[in-house]
Amino acid sequence: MSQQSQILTRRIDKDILEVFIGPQHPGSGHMRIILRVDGDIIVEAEPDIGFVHRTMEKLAEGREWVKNQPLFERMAILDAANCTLGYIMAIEKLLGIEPPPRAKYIRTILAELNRIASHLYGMGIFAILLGHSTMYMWFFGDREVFVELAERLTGQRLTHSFFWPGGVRRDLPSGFKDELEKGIKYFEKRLKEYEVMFLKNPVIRSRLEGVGYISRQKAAELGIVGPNIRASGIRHDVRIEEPYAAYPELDFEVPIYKEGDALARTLQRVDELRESLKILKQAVNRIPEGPILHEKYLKMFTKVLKDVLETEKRVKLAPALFNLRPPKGEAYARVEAGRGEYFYYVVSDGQNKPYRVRVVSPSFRNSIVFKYVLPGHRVADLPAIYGSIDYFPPEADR
Amino acid sequence: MAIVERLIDLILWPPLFYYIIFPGLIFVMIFEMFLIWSERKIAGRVQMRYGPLEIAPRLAGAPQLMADLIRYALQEVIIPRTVDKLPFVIAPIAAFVIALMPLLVTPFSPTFLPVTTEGSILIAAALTTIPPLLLILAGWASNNKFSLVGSARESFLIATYEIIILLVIASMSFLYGTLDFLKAVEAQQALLWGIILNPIAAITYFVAVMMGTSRFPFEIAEAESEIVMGAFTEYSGIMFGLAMGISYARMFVYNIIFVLLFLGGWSPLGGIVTGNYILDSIILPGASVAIKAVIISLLMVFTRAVYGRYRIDHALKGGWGFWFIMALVSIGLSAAVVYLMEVF
Amino acid sequence: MAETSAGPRYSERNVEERMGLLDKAKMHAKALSLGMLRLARPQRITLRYPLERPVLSEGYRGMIVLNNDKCIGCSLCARVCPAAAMKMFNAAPKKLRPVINYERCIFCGYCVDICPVEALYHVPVHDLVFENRDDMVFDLETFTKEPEEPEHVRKVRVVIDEEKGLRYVPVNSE
Repeated sequence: MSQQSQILTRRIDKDILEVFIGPQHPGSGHMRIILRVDGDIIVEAEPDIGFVHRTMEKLAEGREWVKNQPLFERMAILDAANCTLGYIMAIEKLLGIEPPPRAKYIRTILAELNRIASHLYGMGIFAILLGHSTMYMWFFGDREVFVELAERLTGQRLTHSFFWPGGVRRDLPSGFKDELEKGIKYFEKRLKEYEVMFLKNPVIRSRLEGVGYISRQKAAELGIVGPNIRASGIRHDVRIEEPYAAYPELDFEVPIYKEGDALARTLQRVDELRESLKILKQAVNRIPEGPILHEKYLKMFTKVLKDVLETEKRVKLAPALFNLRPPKGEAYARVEAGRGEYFYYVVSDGQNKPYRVRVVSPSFRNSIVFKYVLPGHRVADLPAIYGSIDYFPPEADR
Repeated sequence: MAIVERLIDLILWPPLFYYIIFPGLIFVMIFEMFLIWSERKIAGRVQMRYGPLEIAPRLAGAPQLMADLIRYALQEVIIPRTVDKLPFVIAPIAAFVIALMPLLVTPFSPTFLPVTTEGSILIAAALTTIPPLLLILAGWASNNKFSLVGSARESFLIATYEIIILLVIASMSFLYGTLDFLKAVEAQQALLWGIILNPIAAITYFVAVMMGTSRFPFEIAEAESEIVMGAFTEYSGIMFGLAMGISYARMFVYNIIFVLLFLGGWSPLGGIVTGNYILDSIILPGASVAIKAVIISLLMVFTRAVYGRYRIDHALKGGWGFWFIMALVSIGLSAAVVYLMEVF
Repeated sequence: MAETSAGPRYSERNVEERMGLLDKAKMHAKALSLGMLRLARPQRITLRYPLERPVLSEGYRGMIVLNNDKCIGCSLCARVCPAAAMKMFNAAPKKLRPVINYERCIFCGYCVDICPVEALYHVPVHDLVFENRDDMVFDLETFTKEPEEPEHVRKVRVVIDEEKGLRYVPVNSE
């Protein structure tokens, strides 16, 4: 045999093979995980993130306050409302204003629509990583219902850019309540089918049970967030800890699982879907009448702007909103997005552009899981863990 | 005229006819295209979509597979510099050829067959065990980490499913008291279909074949989200198409054995006598065997729409811990049936 | 553990026990029969896209059109554009007008919303094909004209349905 035909693998240690999963790999997303495997067992895992880093925090410093909204929603385009809501709330804190109640309810509705869509997206990817192509299609197909609803509300399927500081851009369209209720009814039926096809499917069960276990303590140490930490038995949900929008007025539960494995994380997400449906039902029924923008800005509206608001129920961008100059100071806001807690810290130096915007995204905080949870598992467990963490590289890299 | 007759004779010469035309190469090609198309269609129907449709929507996208085949055939075959060339090239081709070889001893009709031998079941069972070895070779020669992992997984699986399949086949030949497919089918015609005589063996065989031909949920050796394409990661063009076809060809062969051992072979159509030799001895019995095999194959590809994939250790645990025992039980059941037949 | 009062609260739940052999067989059968049911009665939501196109909802933020008569040339739209897709130019002396580059546009609709005289508006058309990148930079003439979708497409209305999720109802074009 020629020299060439010998197997060229770098030996790190005796019998340890280094496998690069990604970024050019059907099961990795825009990231790389460097695995060192001993036979089929992972002994070391290194998440190598940053392949889709876009310097968002720096870019944000060069744009007027409201212009950053379309920028930040590109972190997690499938969860656009949740990931921009925190930024808008931080601005509102700087300005010292509160949106009117109706605007809060509309924000809640869109946030929950996005949460459902985001969970369905994550679980769809999860299903295809486990080889379950039907559930992949079902999750994505049913997600379309909620994307469609969000489109009717905001005018775009994904990039909603829906909030103004002090309110929202549009009122609920006519007939939205009926459509939403139909969508909810449909989805409740589908959840039962998911149970048979996915959650209780013995093949999927055997892939998930006991895989990727994160203990309560480990979860707290690593500082992971969102459904992942709630599946490890820690009570942490920003919607309860630091209520925002219309959440404190609504009746819902945040499911907590103690098991901490991939199955608990999956069940937690599905339970959250159910709770989101509950929230949507209540919000759309209890929504109060009233303005959808803070009166401070409504006063500045010219006649044309008022006409549009009355006839088309569309809040125009008053120049005062565009030339926003929040008083000097700093503020933070937290939001519970689909994947976990978004944290925004903004500093204003009184100019029309932010001095600094710091974003901590949930996927970034969850990415550490790979390093500490993968070792000891089989290579075939990587998709199960990756999918159950619901890691989304663009969100982590920003 | 003599030439034409000689040609017809040559074509109808059983070894050639069996290996090249029916049920061999040409039929297997058609079967594969039909099966892959219907696999995609079945999955599409279950998955809220259409499956292949764009090419000739009136034919439900059936020419899609022709298009795929042409694409594979015309694509450049890239042989990476780091592979071991000879085994890399030989492995999929040899695997495909050998995968079809059991067809030489599996009769499709009681009178028209290429090889008459007392041990046809034995030969067929032996030949079906060879292609997976060549798949391991392909992965080994590829010099790629994912191919290696795929090969390793395949080799783990082989040990499991081959033993189960061989045990089940042994239990059935025990039941019929013969190692000849012809006699096995005759025994079934005289008595009952094998699937009724020994249902445990039938189910075990079905699952083991799914494991052996990497159907879901046992699609472990090619798990896309884990190891890209398993042993065939480095293949491209027609070689990749061939490699893809191996598992379907093997499934077809296994299912023909299934039909002969469990589903009464060429009954009911094989019993009809019309007087035409070709119709009586080739088309009618052949069609009944082939149709049954296709139905079993469709059942196997349907599982793609319901399952994800097992982890290798789950599959091995299931194989050794449950199905292996079921295979042993099926031997016991065969013994019981034989005993009962002796008594009554 | 869970409080009984209304309002958001945590609720602790448990993963079910591991399935026994019999349960597994039952769930296998259930999953397979659900698959069979869907095979027999498919429920499709595929929109055969280039042939069929959805009617976009009323407030859809589609392509942007300029009403040249209303425009006062205030440049606010160009200033607010987060993607720098809109630029002002001198259409005539002392007459600024915006033009748009659809290569950059992200359809956020800020320009439409900031226009103080409603000179810009969205049309419910989103999918246009350009042969080259230069065509995507609209000049004043194309920017003031409402884009039209190709004629051969079948228009369907997307209806949210309790049974099927999404239903596509063909729109009869008169």
